[in-house]
Amino acid sequence: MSVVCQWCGMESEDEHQCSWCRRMIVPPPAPPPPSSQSAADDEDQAAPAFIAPLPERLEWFASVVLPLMAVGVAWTRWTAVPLPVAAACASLAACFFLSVYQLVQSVDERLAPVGLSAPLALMFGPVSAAVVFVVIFLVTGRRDALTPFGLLAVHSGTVLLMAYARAPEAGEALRRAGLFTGADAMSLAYLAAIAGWALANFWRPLNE
Amino acid sequence: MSGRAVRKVLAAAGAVAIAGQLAAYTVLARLDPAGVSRRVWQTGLDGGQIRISHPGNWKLSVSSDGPDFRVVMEGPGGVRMEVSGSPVLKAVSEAPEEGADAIQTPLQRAHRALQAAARRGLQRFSEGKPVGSGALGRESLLSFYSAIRGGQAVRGFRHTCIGGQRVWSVQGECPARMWGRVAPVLDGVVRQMELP
Repeated sequence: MSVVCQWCGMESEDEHQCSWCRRMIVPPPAPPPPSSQSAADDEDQAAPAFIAPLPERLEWFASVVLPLMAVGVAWTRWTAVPLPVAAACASLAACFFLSVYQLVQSVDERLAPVGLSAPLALMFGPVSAAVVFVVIFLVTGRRDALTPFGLLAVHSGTVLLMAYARAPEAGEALRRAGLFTGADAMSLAYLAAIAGWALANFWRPLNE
Repeated sequence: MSGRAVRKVLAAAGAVAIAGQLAAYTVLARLDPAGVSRRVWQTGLDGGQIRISHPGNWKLSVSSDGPDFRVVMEGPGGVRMEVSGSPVLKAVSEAPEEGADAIQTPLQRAHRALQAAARRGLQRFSEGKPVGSGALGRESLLSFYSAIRGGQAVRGFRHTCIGGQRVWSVQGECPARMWGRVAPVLDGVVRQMELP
C-alpha cells in the first residue's frame, strides 16, 4: 500500500519511511466515524493533520535548541562579537527550530499577524509586543495571535540569555537586552527571529 | 538507547550547560573589580554637589569625622578608594608660610600634609614625586605610592585638589598583584568624579 509523504509530497511504497526523501512518515489520524454531518463539514475534516503530539515536538525542540543556546552563551561570553549580532543569530536559530518542530504555525498561515508584530517589537520592544498579542488572544480568542506571541516569547528569552552572558548582572542584562524599549540595535534582532521562522518553511511538512 | 531517551539527555545536558555557565559568569562578575554596571552616588555639599560613578559591585559608605567628609568605596579583592574633604586642611594650607614652605603653593602643602597622613599604618611606604593632573575638574596633584599594608604589598595613588571650601583627597589602592587590571578602573572612577 502506498502512502503520501507529508514532507516531500511523493507517494511512498514504505508507509513508515519515505522511499524518496527517506524521512519518517507520521501516519495520519484515524478517520472520524461516519456521522450525519453535512458534506461541507466532511470536506473540512478530510485533510489529515500530519503532526506529532505536542510533548514529542517540545522534546525535539528542547533537545536541539538548549545545546545550541549553551554554545551561543559561551560564544557571546568569550568572543568580541557585538551583542546585537549574537542575539540575532541565537534568535534566528531558536525561532527556526520553533517553526521546524511545528510549535508555531507556518508563514503560509500566519504571515499577517507576525508581520504586524515586527513594527510593534521594533518600536516598543518584544515584551510589549508580546503583551499586545496575549491581550488580543484573551479578549478575542483568536488563535492566530499565538504564533507571533510564541516567536516574541522565544526571542525575548534568547536575547535575555545572550545579554546575561555578556553582562551577568540582572538589571544590566535587562537593560542591554532592550526587552522593554524599542528603537535600538537590539530590537532589530527580532527581524532575524522572523527570518528564522520564515526560513523554516522549507523544512516543514507540505501537508500539515 | 531510544530516540526519546537521547532527546531527553541532550535537552538536560543543554539546560545544565546553560545554567552552569550563567552561574559561573555571575560569580566571576561579582569578583571582578571592574564590575559590570555603574552606579552613581551623589549628594549636595558646600553649596555644590559631589557625584561619584563607581562599579555596581563596590560597597560605598559615607562618614563625617568632625568637619571632614569621607566617602569610602570597597571593591572585591581588596580594592579600596577613599574620597575625603577637609576644610581645616584648606585653611592650614592656604595660610601664609615662612621659610622653606613659603616657596610651595597651597596645593603642594596640602598634598605633602596628606602624604604624611597616608604613611600611618603602612610599612615600607614609598611615594613618587607629585605631578600635575587635570583630573577632578581643577588643578590637582597626583602621586603614586607602594607599601605593605597588613603584610600584603599594595599599590595606589592619591589625587589632591583644592575645592571651594575643602582640600579634597582621592586615594585609590589595591593589592600590588592586581594593579595592572585595577588601575584603569580606579582612574576611570576619578575621571568621572565631580567634587564641590
